[in-house]
Amino acid sequence: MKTVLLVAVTALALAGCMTDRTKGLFNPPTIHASDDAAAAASIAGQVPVDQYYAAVKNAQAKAATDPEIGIMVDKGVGLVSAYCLRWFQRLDDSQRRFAMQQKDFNIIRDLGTALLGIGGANSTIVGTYGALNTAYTGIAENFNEAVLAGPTTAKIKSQMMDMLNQSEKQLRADAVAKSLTFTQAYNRIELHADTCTYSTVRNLLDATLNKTDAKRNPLTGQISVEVKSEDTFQFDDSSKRLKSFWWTDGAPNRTNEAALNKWLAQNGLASVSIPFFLNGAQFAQFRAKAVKDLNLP
Amino acid sequence: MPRTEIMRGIPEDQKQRIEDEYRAVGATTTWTKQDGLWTVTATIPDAPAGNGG
Repeated sequence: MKTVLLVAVTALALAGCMTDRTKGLFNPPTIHASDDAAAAASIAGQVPVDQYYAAVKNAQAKAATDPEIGIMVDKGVGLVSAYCLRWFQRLDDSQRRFAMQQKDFNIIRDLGTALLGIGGANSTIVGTYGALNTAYTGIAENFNEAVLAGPTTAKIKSQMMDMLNQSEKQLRADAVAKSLTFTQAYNRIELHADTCTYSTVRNLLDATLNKTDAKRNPLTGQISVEVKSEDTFQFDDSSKRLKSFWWTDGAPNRTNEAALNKWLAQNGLASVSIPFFLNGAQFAQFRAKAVKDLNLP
Repeated sequence: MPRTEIMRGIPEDQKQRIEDEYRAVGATTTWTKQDGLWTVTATIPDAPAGNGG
């Protein structure tokens, strides 16, 4: 009897029925969301959706130079940003809910193991318990596989919003400069929306992992990560001028070195060493800019 | 976070200069040669002297 109860309790836990108490404790309510569809917050949450579809309706028969196309782009960009932010909010909630469920399950599993030992349960019940255990482990692995939910979520979100901002600026600029037709603008908004997706996040993570090397100390088990960059040699005229600025009288000039490092940081190259910057082919255009920005002879 | 920078295709006459530059920023280097050109692998510690970032 105890084992049957155990299996039932475990099944309830797996279904998430025991974790409703945690609902609403993870994060403050979002300002444009409510359980009540008629509430002002819910209505406000629907505003970017309604505005965008109204803008699409107004723009669809208009010529390329018509302001309605620009308004549609503006509303589309707003909707994409709202959807993307809400997606990350749901991920954050899911991550915390999952952690709570895992804690519940660990307690039940420990209790269940003890009960099964005392009761001398038959093989069917043990098998069922084992299947549930395996299923839960599978869920956990799948969830971790999704990668999105974890300690790095905030960093991923930050990178994602940066990418969206870049895409948004380009889209807005093109809408003005290139007088997009309705179809072009519509497709570009879809492309813009495609930025904030799971596959983009995976690509972002893969690209990051390709740039890093992980090492594990065999004695301590400590894992360390190093950033890895590769390039081919190129020492051009800008390299020579920058080298003359960095080294004077056969040794580094620390004042000029600080100025060069400051320039690197200001230009998104804080993680690049000066030798790599001076001699790497990929930095040729940056070197030319540095020579200009630092007014080097 | 330590960084590793790998640069390939370095001519013989540039090897010592690049070695000196990496030494100036507190990096350790290893060199390998292939088809007459050098490859340097430089490991830069957390707070390198050559790049305050």
